[in-house]
Amino acid sequence: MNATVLTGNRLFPMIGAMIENQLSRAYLESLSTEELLAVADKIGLDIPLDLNRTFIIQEILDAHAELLNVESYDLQEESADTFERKKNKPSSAIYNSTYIDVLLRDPVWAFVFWHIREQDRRTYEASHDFNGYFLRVSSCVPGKTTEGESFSIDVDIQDGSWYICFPAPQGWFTVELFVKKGHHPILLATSRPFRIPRTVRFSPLELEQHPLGPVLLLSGIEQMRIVYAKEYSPGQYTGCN
Amino acid sequence: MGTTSTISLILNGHIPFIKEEADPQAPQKYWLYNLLYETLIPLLQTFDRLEGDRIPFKLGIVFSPLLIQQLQDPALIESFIQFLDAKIELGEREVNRTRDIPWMNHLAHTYYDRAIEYRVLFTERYEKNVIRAFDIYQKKGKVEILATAATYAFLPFYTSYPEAIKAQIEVALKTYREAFGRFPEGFWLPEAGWNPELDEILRSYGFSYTVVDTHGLLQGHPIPQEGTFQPVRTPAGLKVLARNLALSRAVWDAHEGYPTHACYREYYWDIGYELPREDMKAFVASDGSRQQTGYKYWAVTGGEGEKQPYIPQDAHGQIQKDVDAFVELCESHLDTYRRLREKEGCLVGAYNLDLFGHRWYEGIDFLETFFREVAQRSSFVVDTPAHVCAHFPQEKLEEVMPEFSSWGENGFGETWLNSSNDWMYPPVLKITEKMIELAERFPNDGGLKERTLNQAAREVLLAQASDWASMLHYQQAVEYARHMVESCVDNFSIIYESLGGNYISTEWLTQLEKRHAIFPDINYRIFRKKR
Repeated sequence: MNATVLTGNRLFPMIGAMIENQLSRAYLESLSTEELLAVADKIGLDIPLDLNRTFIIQEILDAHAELLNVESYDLQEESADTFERKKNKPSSAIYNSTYIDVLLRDPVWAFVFWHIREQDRRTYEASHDFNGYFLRVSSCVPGKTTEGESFSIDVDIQDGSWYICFPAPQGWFTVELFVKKGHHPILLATSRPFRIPRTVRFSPLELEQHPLGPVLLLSGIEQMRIVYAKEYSPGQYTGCN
Repeated sequence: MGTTSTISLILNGHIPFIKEEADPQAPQKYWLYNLLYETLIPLLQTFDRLEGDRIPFKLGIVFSPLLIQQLQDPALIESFIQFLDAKIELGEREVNRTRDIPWMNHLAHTYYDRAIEYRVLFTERYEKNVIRAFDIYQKKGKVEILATAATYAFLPFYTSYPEAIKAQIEVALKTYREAFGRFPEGFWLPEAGWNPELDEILRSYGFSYTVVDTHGLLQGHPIPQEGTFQPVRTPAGLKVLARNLALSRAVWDAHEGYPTHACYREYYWDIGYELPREDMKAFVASDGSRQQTGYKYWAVTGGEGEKQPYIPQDAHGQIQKDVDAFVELCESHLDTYRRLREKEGCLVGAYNLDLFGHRWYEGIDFLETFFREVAQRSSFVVDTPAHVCAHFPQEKLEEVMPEFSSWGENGFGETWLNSSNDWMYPPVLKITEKMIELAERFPNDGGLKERTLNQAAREVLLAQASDWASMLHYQQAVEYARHMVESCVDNFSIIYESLGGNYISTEWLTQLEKRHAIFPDINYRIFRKKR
């Protein structure tokens, strides 16, 4: 017994023509599951019978994009366009300032994003000794000016955001945005101090010897599916967005 | 702590903002219809039955301010009644269509009868106001309703802007007070998103407790001596309960949780996706997408074979087995804890409300069977989270600061911050910052300017909703999510520049107020810095 009890066997003459054209998510969502399976079959996809329609639609979109050798329905591409459009809106005074900000994603990765006031950007980049922009990530003690350890990341003039991987398993940091004029860095913006949280991962042996081991085990400490802070390993600290 | 171990269940109810389009068949409106039809009405009906049978039941339910307001919106209520009528009409056709297939016809009759029953319950017994019906159970002490942030913003991302977090909380408190006539005791963190900066803020609004995910507490400072079996006290004096991992996984795990059992009803196989669209007009959304009808005939089945028919008796038998397993899981954890620490413990199970009934058709039956089972045993009691906290005197609790955490993928902020949705944060945080600036710049303005600033505040709150990031991440209603973020940011930008130029188009503003009609009595000054 299967779904055809409900639907009967039907042919889909429109599918061939449809596949020739651009498929859209909205269009696929308007099709019945049987019609979706027929589309999948037409473009050579082997779809398991119990796959839910959300995944069938995504599989079709991915496969179709590949077939046509066009940009896939990749959210990142769509999102980047949207973000560029926002960022480049010349009329909006709201966005046209120089700043840098940080969102902590987890104990390993932070999302750093910045903007340079358009007029300033043009001036910097037109300068004969313009030598690019870079970020400096520094450990810090909130409220104190003492400089801690730091590392720098060169960023492209087109960049507006990066994911930065943090080498230390915990501690406070700031990120600064610089423009390089020749070899001289000029500070453009500084983020607020932010804290990389601590994560503790016990080995089975440590848990066995820990006075709280039995209660922690009973609480599920070994089964937690979370991101743990990494041990320091040089060269692992950046990822371009 | 009392002499008995305790289980506290919390069901988290929230839906995104869905009112933007007036069309009752806008695709996102089906989220509300399905939550009402498959979860809220059956849950109230279950409470009625349990109370009628004098079965003790207690639990916590979260109603987000967005959900509260949309459940009480007259236009949405009328649309839902039309949806109920469409279900009844479809039921008549289904009973006829399936007349030659007895097992299917039996299900069609069941669904048809239920549609009629729910229409009567909704319009007559609950008088089109399920919020009030739940409040009756709160007043009876059976249900505790927790507050949460106004638009369910993922609060750890806004800790640079404490005014924004306070604005989310102040709108939430106002909405709660209007709906329930009292202040809430507990604050549900949207997506269980916690970081230590929230401690002082939550306490300053008088909340007595909140709930974090397991690792939020187990990674706390110091590591709590009682694990997740007792609340802790934060430095600001907030009590914190932790969601128990085993209880969560047993119900919620996508691969091994109870809802995955082969005999339960399959969520995705619905005639709304199968029958000719001309027969399904009420269940084809305005954008042409097919929607679920609730007329579902197939079981989860499992494996790669053909789907098997859904047999309610088999599912009901499995519910009893799953409840037995769940109760035994609770008992074994509480017994082991008692042996280890010579104390009674408490366990918190927290789940999304729409899992029960909507995603997991038999989920409401599971809850009812669970409360009936617990009533027959003496090994533990069920209670509301506020009562659980009240059993532990503040001064006897260990002081622990929970660590940054959430119940999202991999335990932190990844679900709401990744390559699919990170584009939204620069503009959303920028308008947040500018809203705080506007509230400072225009502290005493009235008239049209105040009205405009109030709309600006609504746009910022709506843009901050964590729903858009989730939808982008999970690739569900992506266009709607992107549209909402973009339009809220654009609307705010227009207002900001209008205020700078001292010109406001009232026609445009009025249209926007109708489209983004939420929190009608909002006061933009909630974004001012607190002095």
